Amino acid sequence: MTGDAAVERRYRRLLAWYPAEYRRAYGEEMIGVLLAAASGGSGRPGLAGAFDLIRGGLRARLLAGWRKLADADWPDALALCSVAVPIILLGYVIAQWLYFLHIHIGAPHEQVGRGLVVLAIAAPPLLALRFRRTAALVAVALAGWLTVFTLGGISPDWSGYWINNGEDVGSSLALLLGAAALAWSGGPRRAAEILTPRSWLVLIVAGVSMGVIHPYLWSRPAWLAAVIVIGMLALVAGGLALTVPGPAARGLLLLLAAPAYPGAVWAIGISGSYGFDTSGFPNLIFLPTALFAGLAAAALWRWRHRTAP
Amino acid sequence: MQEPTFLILTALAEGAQHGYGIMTDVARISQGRVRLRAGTLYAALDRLLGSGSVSVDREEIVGGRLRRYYRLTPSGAELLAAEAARLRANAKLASTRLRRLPGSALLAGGAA
Repeated sequence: MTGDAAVERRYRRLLAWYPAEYRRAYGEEMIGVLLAAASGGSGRPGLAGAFDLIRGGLRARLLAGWRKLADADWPDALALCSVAVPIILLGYVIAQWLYFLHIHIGAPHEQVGRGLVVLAIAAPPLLALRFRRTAALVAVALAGWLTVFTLGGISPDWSGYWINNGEDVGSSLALLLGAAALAWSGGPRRAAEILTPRSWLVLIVAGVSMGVIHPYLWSRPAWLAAVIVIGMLALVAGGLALTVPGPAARGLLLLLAAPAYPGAVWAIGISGSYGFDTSGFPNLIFLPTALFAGLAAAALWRWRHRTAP
Repeated sequence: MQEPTFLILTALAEGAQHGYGIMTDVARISQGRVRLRAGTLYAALDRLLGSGSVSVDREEIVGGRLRRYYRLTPSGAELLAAEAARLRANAKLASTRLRRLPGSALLAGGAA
């Protein structure tokens, strides 16, 4: 192998950091420029040159990912959320209800309470089939109530076990997302047009399996809980990405990430030694959640800005 | 506007150039101070192509390798002109204030 061929191979390996689309557009041209620079006295690819290509590649990948997100069909993604959120929550709540009925029948008022929660989650999307605005108002009221309750729970005078609020934070965000989806999209009617039977199945299985697995996690070590939770989220995300048709799937996954993250951290945090003190790590829940929500809001804003007349 | 972008547009204001030509021209017009690397150059070109400031002029195959020439578009020329005017205004203001500074004739380039 000649020296030039070895240098070219090294440059080609470095260009692998760039996304395939970028390499198709500029790859051969960049190789020519890199080899010309190498023979023109700029030297072989040194550390600085390699760093420049790796940085450029990562930046191009980030930009490509961002463009894909911003190009998602956001009205449809929101419409999907108006159905996905209540289905997952209902699956979760009903599976847990059945689990608790199985181990302990409990007092009638407990059953009434759980029944009301089911009704509160199911009512807005069902109402939206006929009265979308009323449904959105009901959803906003319910989500607002839970959010106030959650904010009360995470007030500074509370005991400081931040992670124990993950379920409330996740549920509040999910209901707020569902309410926003009812208000600003075609709602369940549009979602029913998009979703395939398989995507309905993925949504139902996602919620039910979360409800079934949750009690199982309590007595497991935190690492095992983390593996189970992350694995399950990956399966749900993969299932939705594969079964939800069109570019709305990317938007749906990003929108669902904001409520899913605190719920997942909570499920892992309460496993093993119950009461794991996370008072020093409130950012564990709030920063990534804010990042997901901010990213979704920015992509939505860009989409609206770009498609505005 | 970042300096590498400004210098790339300045290089293209002379006429259409290929990637390596832009790199050497930027080194020359910055008197060796700015040495663009391929990753930085193509990130800037990709951005400038996306914004319509630069377009592809032609493609050639030289020594079996693709060589693509880029040229400044009218909107790129406007962008460069606006940036040059902004830099000129800033430089003028800095020079004026430096001249007023006691004992700073050398800093202001000796122009009084």
